[in-house]
Amino acid sequence: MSAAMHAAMHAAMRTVVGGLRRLLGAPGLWLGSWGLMLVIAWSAGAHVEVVVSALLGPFDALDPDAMVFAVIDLMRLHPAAGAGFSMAVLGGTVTSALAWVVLSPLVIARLAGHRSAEALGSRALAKVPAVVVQSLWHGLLRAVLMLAVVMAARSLPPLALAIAAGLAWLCAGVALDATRVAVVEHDAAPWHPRTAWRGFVRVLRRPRLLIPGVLLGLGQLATSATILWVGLAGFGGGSPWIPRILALVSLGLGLWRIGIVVEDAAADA
Amino acid sequence: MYASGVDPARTRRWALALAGALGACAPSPPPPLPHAPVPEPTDPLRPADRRGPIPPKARVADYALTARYDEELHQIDGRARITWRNHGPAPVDRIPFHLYMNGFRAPDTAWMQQARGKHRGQELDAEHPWGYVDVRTAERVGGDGGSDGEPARISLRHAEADEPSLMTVWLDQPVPPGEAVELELAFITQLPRVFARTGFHERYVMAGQWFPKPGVLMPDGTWRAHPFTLYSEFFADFGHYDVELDLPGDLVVGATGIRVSEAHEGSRQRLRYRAQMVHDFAWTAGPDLVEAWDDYEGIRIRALVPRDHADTAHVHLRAQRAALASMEARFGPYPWSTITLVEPPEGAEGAMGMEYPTLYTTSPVKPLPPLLQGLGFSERMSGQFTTIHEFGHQYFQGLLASDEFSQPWLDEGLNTFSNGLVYVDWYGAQEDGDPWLATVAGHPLRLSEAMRLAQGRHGFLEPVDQAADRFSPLVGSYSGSTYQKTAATLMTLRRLVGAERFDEAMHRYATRFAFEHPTGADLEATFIETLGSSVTLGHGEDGQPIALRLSEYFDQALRSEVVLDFRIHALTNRPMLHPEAGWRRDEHDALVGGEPPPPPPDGGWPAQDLEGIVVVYRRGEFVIPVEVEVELSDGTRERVLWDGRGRHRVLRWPGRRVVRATLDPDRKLVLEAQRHDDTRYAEDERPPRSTPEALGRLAEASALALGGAFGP
Repeated sequence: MSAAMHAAMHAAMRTVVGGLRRLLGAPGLWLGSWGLMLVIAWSAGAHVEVVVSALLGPFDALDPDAMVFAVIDLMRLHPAAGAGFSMAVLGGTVTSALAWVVLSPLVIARLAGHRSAEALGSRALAKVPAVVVQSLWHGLLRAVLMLAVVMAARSLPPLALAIAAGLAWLCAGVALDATRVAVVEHDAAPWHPRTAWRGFVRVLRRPRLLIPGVLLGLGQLATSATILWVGLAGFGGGSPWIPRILALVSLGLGLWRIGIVVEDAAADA
Repeated sequence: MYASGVDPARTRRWALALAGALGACAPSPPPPLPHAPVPEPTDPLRPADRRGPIPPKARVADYALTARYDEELHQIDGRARITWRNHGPAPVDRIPFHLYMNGFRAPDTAWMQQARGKHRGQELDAEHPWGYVDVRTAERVGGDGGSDGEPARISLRHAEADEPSLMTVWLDQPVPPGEAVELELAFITQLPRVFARTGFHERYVMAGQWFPKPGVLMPDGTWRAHPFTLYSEFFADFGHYDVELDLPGDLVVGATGIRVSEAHEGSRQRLRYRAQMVHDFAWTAGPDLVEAWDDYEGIRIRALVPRDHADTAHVHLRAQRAALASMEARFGPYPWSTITLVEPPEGAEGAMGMEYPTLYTTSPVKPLPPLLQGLGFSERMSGQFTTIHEFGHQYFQGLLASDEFSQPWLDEGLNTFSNGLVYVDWYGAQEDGDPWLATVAGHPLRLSEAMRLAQGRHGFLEPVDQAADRFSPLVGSYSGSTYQKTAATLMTLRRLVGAERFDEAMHRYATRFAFEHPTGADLEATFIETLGSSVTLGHGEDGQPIALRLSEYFDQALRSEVVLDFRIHALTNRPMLHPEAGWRRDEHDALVGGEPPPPPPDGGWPAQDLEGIVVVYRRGEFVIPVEVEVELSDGTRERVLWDGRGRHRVLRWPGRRVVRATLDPDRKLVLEAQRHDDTRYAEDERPPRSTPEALGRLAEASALALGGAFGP
């Protein structure tokens, strides 16, 4: 291994470990965010429970030997149950996504090491409009990127196409982190689309940022799939705390990813 | 009551879910395709000792067909020499013909009026919409006066009916009973772009119902020849076929029967086929089909699949073997020496899922996406169910050639039911005789549950036992009723009377009416002959036997729209009467006593002071005995059989507390499409598993998963 390569590896490791240190240094942020996720998800679940309970009345027993049939039968007899389920999950997801946009200045500021209520509060409030605008610009650029990837890879087998699209999506996620960190911590132009564009450029030029970011994003997706699997496999039984604990893990991976971007940006500064 | 500790069913589900997830990560490679081509059989029928007897009068119409296919015009230039035997009681002076292809001739045919250019999700093609068969000449062959040693030919009058899917040929002289007449028809068949079983897609051709076919003369001397309508399939007599096809030379060809010769001449190929004791002849050809082979007990299995689906041919072959094994054991021998399964190429979906003698079309195997597999979704349906279903038609109606117009349930319904039995025989031994068809993270959807669901909301809107043209696409009940309700009717009966006796009746029906045209009455008579007119299912509370009357059962299930639906209307535990309380008259007619009723003890009434009550309610009009299982607070379970004749029944357990009641605990009444109100707990009992809570938790987990995926 050449000295330059060794130095690059060392820098990458330093960034990754630095990101983790930032996460571990903010346990309140991690647990508080988790609590917010739990509340949002619990609300979705409670909504479904109330709707289904009202529809079924006294016939609410779930036959453990015929769970799939019971659910299909319910959805067929009461389409409102299916609609209620979909809307609750969709509503929970959208609420989570919006919450992360609004809270991301606070999250970034905390991971950047700010502790005082004043510093956190000023960023949490002052940077929100800029982060929202940059998130919108980023959304446009991400849509273009996804379209380009899908068009370029459309001749590939479906699985390869899905992998290509998934990697592009995860890369864009790291770019969004970079954009937000630039806005919140480094006073990047708050309204200009170029700021969002530079987020993409930055991560593409920095493998030490991109690779761990994508891997952590993959970890988040895998954790989400595991949560779904556990939810389905344990349907009608099992502890609700297994998916909840897994959500804590997923959240930690996401915050670690942001911590890496913050670490990288701080090193530059 | 759910025992604490390890629940074996739950453990199995988790194991299944985990296996599914791991399986998705490391899919097993498909088994290698079977051996080299299996040689063409030399006889279209299996040897007599393997195929079973053929009734002497079953052979009615023999065909010698020639067909030259012009793939530029998508036309077949054909001639049909038909030898028709009069097995009726009176002379016949005219013969009605089915011209099924004319159903696609114009928007106002009987078929098109109902279908409006759509069939199973496929639509009429704007560029090549129409198909027709144009009979140019009809002649009688025979008698003196021919030249060059050829028999004489007498031109016959022929004319289409107002509905062009029917035609009549008037004979120059009546055919006496027991005699035969030989006719020769010249015709042109125009194929449409395939959207309803028959036609072409690019160079692929599926030629079904492409030639004129006589109707069926019934033993009473009446003809069965019906207009071709959306839901009617086909009806014809058995006979021998000798067919010569002249096709483009590069096409891979499959057809009814066995290939007896082939010759390539320039860019064309001439293939000759022979089939015996079949009632139709179809052929298919495509440029990019590959062959896979198998052999089952001397039956040559040939699969034709698109080249890019060659890796899934083994799925069809495996399903074909399973279907043969099951159906031969249950319904008697498969009499022909060959079976060809065809998966039409992409774009020819309209040709998929159709049966012809010794040839059928199936649908592609579509594996679930890896993500769904990883989440524990799996299924046993894709492709292989179509294969099992379409092969099943070799029995119902290939061998038991019922009138698909008058009683479509006899082929589609019996076949759908028999498909379920194939799954039972294939997988059921390890799965309590009710195999799963799909799983979601280890939770199975079983065959009987799928049968309940498949009846749908519309399956009860029209009776099962009615002619195909009485089903309206506007009502949308045809599939739910004809296929699914029939299957559920038979599965319910099988579970009620016992598999062994039921299977004996079905075997008797299938073997007795092979190579005949059985009716629904024949089937019902066979059941009554085998099972008796009523079957005792058990004894009621009063000790009297409770029986299922078969005629009543079939009347309700097949010839009415009544719905089978029960409910636990009420489940309560009320205090027993305390006769020592209150005022009563003594021997001097004076009021004595006046004791107040005893107050409920702390913690509520003990079980011995309660009367458990369950009210069973027959919500539907379908009258049938039903069992109720009650769980009592001491952990015991008791079962009561109710004859179902009243609208409701009050069941009492004095001195005992009822915890739960479940209707039809062994899930025998598959005809009951929904079961959500079949179990109820006492008001102060919480079910061990509740549907609202389970769905709520799933929604929470989904929100956590998606919130995490779209999170920070």
